[in-house]
Amino acid sequence: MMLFALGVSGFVGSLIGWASLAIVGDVPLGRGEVSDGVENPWNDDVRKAGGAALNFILAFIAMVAYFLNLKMVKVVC
Amino acid sequence: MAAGCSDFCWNLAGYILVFLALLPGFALKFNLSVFSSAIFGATTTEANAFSFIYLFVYAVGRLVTGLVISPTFTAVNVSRLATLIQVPIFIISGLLVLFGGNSQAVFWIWVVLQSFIGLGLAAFKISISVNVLDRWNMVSE
Repeated sequence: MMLFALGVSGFVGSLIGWASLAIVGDVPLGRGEVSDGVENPWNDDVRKAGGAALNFILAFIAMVAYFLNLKMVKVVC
Repeated sequence: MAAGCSDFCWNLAGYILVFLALLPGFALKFNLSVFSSAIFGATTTEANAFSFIYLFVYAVGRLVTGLVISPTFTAVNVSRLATLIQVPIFIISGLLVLFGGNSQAVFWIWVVLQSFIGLGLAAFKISISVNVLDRWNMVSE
């Protein structure tokens, strides 16, 4: 079960990372690229905000994991 | 085991714990160079250097964690420390991205901070199997 969790967290982690890139702005379009006559609306401020938001979300997940760890690690692991 | 929770329940709790503890590190590990280029506009060389530094620290973490686990500094302590250090580092990294600007210095400080996340990921991964052996081996039954 623990090893399965290890694999799944890697898979989901990579998905979250990839999805966040869409917010940060390089997927599918890079900065200033044009598609169908529309310029990519993301700018540096949005990219910075997206990158910071990702870090804060990951900090929250790590904090939840820490408190779960405090409660459970002796029991379940 | 504590009352009110079946074996399946505790297994599920352990699954969620490991899942959440490893997820932030993996989210970063698999997207190192793309994050650096997307957030800081890093060149290919800088992104490669970031990948190397992160993975080197990660490798050292995996090597050293097994050596430092002892009866006084147990695998439980290691797993707790590994998850705890990620919290302030991610918060500082987020603030750095938000307010730090686009300079080279900020980028390399960010690289160092993220490498510590790799250290935490490596330490937690090593502690999983040791914790499982501590809890479930025949001697402790």
